[in-house]
Amino acid sequence: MRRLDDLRFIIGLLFGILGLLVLFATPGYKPAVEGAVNANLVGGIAMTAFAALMLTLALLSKPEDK
Amino acid sequence: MRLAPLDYGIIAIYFVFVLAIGAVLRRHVKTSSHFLMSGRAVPLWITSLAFISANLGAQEVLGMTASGAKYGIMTAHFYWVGAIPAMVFLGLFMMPFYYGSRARSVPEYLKLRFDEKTRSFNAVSFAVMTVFSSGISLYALAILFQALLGWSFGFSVLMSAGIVLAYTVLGGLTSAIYNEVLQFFLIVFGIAPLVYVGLRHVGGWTGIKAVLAPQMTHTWTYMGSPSQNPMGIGIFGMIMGLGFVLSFGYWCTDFLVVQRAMVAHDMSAARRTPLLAAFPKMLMPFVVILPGLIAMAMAAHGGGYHLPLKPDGGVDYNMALPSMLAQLYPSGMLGIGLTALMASFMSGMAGNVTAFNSVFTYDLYQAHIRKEASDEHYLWVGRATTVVGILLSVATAYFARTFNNIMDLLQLVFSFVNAPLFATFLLGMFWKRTTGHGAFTGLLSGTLAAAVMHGVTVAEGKGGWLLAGHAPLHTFGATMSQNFSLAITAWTTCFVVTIVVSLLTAPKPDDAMRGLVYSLTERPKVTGLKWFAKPWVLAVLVLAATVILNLLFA
Repeated sequence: MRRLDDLRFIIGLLFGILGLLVLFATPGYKPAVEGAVNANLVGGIAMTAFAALMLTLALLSKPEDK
Repeated sequence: MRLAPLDYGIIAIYFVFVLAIGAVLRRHVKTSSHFLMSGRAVPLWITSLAFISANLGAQEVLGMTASGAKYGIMTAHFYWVGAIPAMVFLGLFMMPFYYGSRARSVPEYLKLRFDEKTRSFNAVSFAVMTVFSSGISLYALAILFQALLGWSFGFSVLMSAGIVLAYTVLGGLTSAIYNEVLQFFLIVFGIAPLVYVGLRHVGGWTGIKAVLAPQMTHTWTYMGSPSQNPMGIGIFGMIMGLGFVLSFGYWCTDFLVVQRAMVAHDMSAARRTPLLAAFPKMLMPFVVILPGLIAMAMAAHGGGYHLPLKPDGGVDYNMALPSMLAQLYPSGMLGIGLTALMASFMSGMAGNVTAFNSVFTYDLYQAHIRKEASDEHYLWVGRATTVVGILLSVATAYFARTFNNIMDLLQLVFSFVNAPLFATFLLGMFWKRTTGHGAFTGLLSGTLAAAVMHGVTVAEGKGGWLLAGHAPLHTFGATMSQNFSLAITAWTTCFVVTIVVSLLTAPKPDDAMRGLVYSLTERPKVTGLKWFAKPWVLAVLVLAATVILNLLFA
């Protein structure tokens, strides 16, 4: 329950869910402009990596650091 | 623009998180200080991100992309000239007084330093302005989502207001600040992939430079004369108007942003809040301005992208960002991008409402209506004021929908009130001879000077309302140039009048001003920090990085 007070944990959880959702949607939704990079791949990877960083920081933190 | 179920799912997940934050934080709100000041216990990294997020509302994001498309990379002056130096000044020189005086708000500092009438003038104008800004945020959100997704005006207004009401009443300022940090990351991750994909599409910065006019891709080269650049502004107007008066007036005195630093857990963190915030702030042009240039380059390249048009056939620069989202984002990232815009509108509204409830409770209710009451009572007043603030915002949104011209007028009047404010703080903090009568008269004169200046000059058909058929005293090439000159006039008038009246009236005794004025206050000692985390080192690093960015894009 203490983790829910930690903003890093909340951010990690939110962006983890959003990142994975967007990443898994990549094959199903093609870019609107022909030849363009699929933004779902770019955004999905970026958000998932950021979420992993935030969750790691939250899990390694001491209570007074939150 | 058509959303897939995935996009709606993303928006719904965000709403669940926002409401959950309010619910989780509710159990920590036990006193009025917890509700209105976050118990002055917010960690530095959160106050820093909230500090810039409070200024990263959707109108700012859409407006900066629009200006990027219209004026080019010169728009970055609003960050590299119009924000960073003021943030450094706030952290180094002004936070010791705001934080050290234990004032709970910016108007309360004015009461401690000057007198009740100066505090009340600032508190009333600020309270009205925040409710008004919150309502405008709501109105802009509803109009945008009506145009993009066909949502009804009433649905957008009531849904957003309801969610903001729930999480701010439950978790108070902490809840608003946590959501601002979420919003910051949503903006970054919602728009940065657009920049990456867009840049690849147009051939990078070289590709943009190849198709746009050189005035669009330089910040300083064409500043020699107002006629040379698309903004119509010269170097003096840019540095004095934007870089000094408007920028310092906003970043150093607007309670909405200063409040984020004031709730830090100690003096050192409060001082470092704007300094650390300056690092991501200086990079924001690459997230919010660059998409505007990419849009122009994509339109110039051809290939199916067209700039959005207004009904009269002119380019609708304000829709540049939404049109890019629709063009370059498939479902998934489209949901993230729209959620980021929605989050910005809502957190902009929450920021205004939480600043409003602090100022109303401390500076109006406690100061004038009920001086001695229990803390439970002030907590109740804070919560009730939040509800009233949201209801007034909803009413303002509907009012704006019906009387758009009156809203423009009100916005103009508030700019008159804000323009001279920094002169009052500068003199109050750094010249102990400044008196309450001097500050109050200076503020009124500065406001009046701004109004008169607007009444006798004209720019793009605006202003000149005092002329009654006579020729304008001066015609500006652009409204932005008129705004900068107006700010300079207001500031100078306030500065001079404050000095003159102060010299004619009796100052407070020195003992009553300790901790409030530079010459009577011991410098804050910086201990326990590594050398690179000390405020002066951070300030030098921030300024050096800003100079490098200016040179790179000169």
